[in-house]
Amino acid sequence: MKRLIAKRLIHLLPVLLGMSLAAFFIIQAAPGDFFSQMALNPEISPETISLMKQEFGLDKPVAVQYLYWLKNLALGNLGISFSYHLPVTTLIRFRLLNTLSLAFFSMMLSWLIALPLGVFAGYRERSISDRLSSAFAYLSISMPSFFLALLCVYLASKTTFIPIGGTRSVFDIDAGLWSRFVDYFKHLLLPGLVLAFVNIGWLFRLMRNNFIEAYGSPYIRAAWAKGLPVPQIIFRHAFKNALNPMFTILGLEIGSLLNGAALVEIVTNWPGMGSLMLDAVLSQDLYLVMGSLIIGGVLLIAGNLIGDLLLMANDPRIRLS
Amino acid sequence: MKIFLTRLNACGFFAAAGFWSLVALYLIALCADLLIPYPYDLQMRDRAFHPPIRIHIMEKGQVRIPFVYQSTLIDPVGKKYQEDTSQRYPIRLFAQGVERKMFGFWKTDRYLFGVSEPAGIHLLGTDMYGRDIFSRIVCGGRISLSISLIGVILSFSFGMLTGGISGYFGGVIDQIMMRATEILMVFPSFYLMLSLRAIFPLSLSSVQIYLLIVVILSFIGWAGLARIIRGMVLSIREEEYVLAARSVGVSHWRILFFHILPNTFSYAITAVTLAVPGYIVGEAALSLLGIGIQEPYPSWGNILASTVGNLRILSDAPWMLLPGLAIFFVLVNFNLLGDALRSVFDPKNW
Amino acid sequence: MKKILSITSLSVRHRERMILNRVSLEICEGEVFCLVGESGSGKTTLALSLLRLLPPGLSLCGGSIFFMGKDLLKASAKELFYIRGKEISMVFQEPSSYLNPLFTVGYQIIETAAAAGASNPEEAAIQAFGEVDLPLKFFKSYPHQLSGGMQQRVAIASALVNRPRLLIADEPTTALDVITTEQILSLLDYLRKKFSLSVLFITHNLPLAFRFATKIGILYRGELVESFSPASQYIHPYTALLFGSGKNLAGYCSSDDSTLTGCTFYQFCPERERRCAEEKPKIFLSGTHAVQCWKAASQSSFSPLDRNNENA
Repeated sequence: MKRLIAKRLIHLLPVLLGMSLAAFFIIQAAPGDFFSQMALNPEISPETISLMKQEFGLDKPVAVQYLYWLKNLALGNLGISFSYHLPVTTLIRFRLLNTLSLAFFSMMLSWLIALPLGVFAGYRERSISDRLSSAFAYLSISMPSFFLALLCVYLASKTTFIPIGGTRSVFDIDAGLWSRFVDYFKHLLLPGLVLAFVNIGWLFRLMRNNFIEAYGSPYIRAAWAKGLPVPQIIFRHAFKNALNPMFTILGLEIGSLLNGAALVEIVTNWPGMGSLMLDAVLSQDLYLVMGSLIIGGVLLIAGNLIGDLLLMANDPRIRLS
Repeated sequence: MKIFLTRLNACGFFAAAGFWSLVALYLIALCADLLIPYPYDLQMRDRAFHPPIRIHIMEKGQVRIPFVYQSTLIDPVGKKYQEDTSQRYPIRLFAQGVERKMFGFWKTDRYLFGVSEPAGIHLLGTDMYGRDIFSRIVCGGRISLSISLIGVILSFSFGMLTGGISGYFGGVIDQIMMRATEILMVFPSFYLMLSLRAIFPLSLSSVQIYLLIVVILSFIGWAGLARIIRGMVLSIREEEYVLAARSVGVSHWRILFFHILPNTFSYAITAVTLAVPGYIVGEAALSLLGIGIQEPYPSWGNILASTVGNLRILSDAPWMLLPGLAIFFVLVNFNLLGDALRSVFDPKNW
Repeated sequence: MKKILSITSLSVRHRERMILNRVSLEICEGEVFCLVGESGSGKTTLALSLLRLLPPGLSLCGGSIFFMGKDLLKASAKELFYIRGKEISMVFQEPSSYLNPLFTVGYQIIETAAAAGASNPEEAAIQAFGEVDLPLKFFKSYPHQLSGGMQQRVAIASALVNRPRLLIADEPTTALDVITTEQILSLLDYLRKKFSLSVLFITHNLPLAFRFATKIGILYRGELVESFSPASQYIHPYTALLFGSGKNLAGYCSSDDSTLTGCTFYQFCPERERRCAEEKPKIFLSGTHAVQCWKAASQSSFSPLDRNNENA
């Protein structure tokens, strides 16, 4: 198993390299010369400009610039944001936590609802409850996340207890850790619920199909013939097998969660990577754009890796071959 | 064609409903200019933020031709309107209005339906400049539906081409393509979309923006399809009829285009139908964020844009969220159709 | 001898077609009843009916199954729970499909023992492992790590760990090579003698049945056309075809005319007469030899069975 992990990590290197190249290429493709743009901006001090020049070799030929870029990436230096006048990594660090907590919360919620519902619907295939839940799933997959988010913001504005936007309300600075956590969570609710809702649909269908397939497998008939108690047959045998393909999905879901989260964040004013990215694009703050893009890619790779590891842990056929 | 329709009917009510709804929607989008009561960019500032007009049929207990009342602004700050019940304004067909150019060249001042001034027939209300939202949604549909369709076709043509070549010829070409798509697919698509948009200046001409969005959307969607087509081509390549064709001397290109790729069509069609929603949402997202289709051209995304971040507009004029409903409806139909196609082509169902 | 299983006039239907048509057979203690038939004859359906595991779409429409005095067709879910895996066990054709790939083979035997309420399931499972001649080092292996023959041994161990009275083996060696088949068969024979097990052995291979069986039943298109002991001489023409003909009999079960008035085998029978097309043959009995063919009418040792006596 360790060999498998090592193999995967080694395979990652060219991908990471390619990623850095792609990002670098995108920066280079942007029209105009950074230098002149930066020099014209009165807010950027000459010291900053010369620092950037040094660190990124902005006056050297392109190929050399790429090597500088690579070196900086490895060191964790993603450049300086033109609009915020802060290192890109600092900015990302703040926002990343928010995006991750949003993604994690909605993922947990959607999985906790979609998976049992999928098993339930799969077990009672073609019954009324199956058809109802499938119809609900349709609703979920067709619903545009931003529309639902706007709708929820509208509804929430008509009430007083659901906070909209931001991560904390303005109140007592000395509030204890617990009440701050609760407050954060209350702000997380709106975007979290919206994001969870749009993901439940496809997760449900996937789980339902997996369960139906697993339940129709020969070893389930053998389990019946062996006289195992019914709950054991359903939950231990069918469910475990149905869950198997879901682990790779778990990894892949990080990517789609980042996407979905970004749009929802922007619309609900949740300060995460998505809104950072948008700000960067609107102010053409290219190093910030690149930094966010790279972090996004890294998160996706990490997610895939975790998914693969979980799959290996669950499926002995992959673990021991 | 006949075979397709019979198969579609066999899929059940929802599939057929989805298909015909989409046909209707695309027809509406094509004939948008014929159906609207106002030009999409006509600003009627005295009627800004007007809620959807009420259409009456009865007056004083008597049934009349459907009519509306004129609205007077009673609260300029809060934008509240009240109906003036003194005079009826019946809805006329082929009513007269502001002169415009239909489809870009046909000068006319007639509209399919309308009411005489100073009343307004705003079926879905007006926006902050007093533009009729119904007209903007119908015209916006043109843009949203066409961008997605063109983008999908571009992606898929390119994807099939590259996937086919890569899978069939293998070797270095294949390796390069695999690495390239892998790298592309590593980035979250939304982030990538924003980055690609950032390379170009924020304000471009409308035609340039349209093309740019199409290109960006296709670029992002291409990689996934190319890889799947490549995989399919790899396995079809080993089939006997391909070897037979080679032995008779058919050229590689003929085999690829006439034998192998046609076998990927069934998957491609299903994938196209299920991918269009993503493209529609992509364009809507870009326009929503202000970096897609720009004013004054309407797009479902940019009508929603005025409500983003602006709680006042959102809570006072919720009818501006209606384009979202339109997107939802379109997506439902594409998904219904896509599911039906998937079960039609699924070998298990044959 | 004690009767373990008594199937009387069992009929199973799938839409309009009769998969099993009034099948009757008996198995006594310690017997090996080999049910022989081509694919499509209904053998697996018969096996599944015993455990009430028919797939949806197939329905029982007549007859009775008595196991140790209990009416299986009227048994409640709870009673069935106490029978499956504990009184009646089943081994299937493709062991790799019928073992759950995500659990160790040892665990899959343990859970069978635990379902029967064994006080020490692990010990019982380990003992079962030894009984089927599997080295203990494979106890914690996963199914995909074992060969076909070993997987089948696991299945047999799991089936026998609770010392059932009846073992149903549905073509257990069809998916295995010749040498492994021999090994499995001798294993089964040994275990049968050791635990005085009764076996319902299903196969399409008549010579195999001859070596292994104490009684052979021939199933053709859902009807039991002959049942006899290997020592007796068979009568039915279909049995003759099955045995040593080497002919490809693949098409014999597939034609669909279930509404024929005469004998179901009329179409392919090399010894048919006019009578066979007009009248469905009665069942003729001679001791334990039963045959459904008009040929037996001319033999003195056979007398027709009155089917109206049976509880149809």
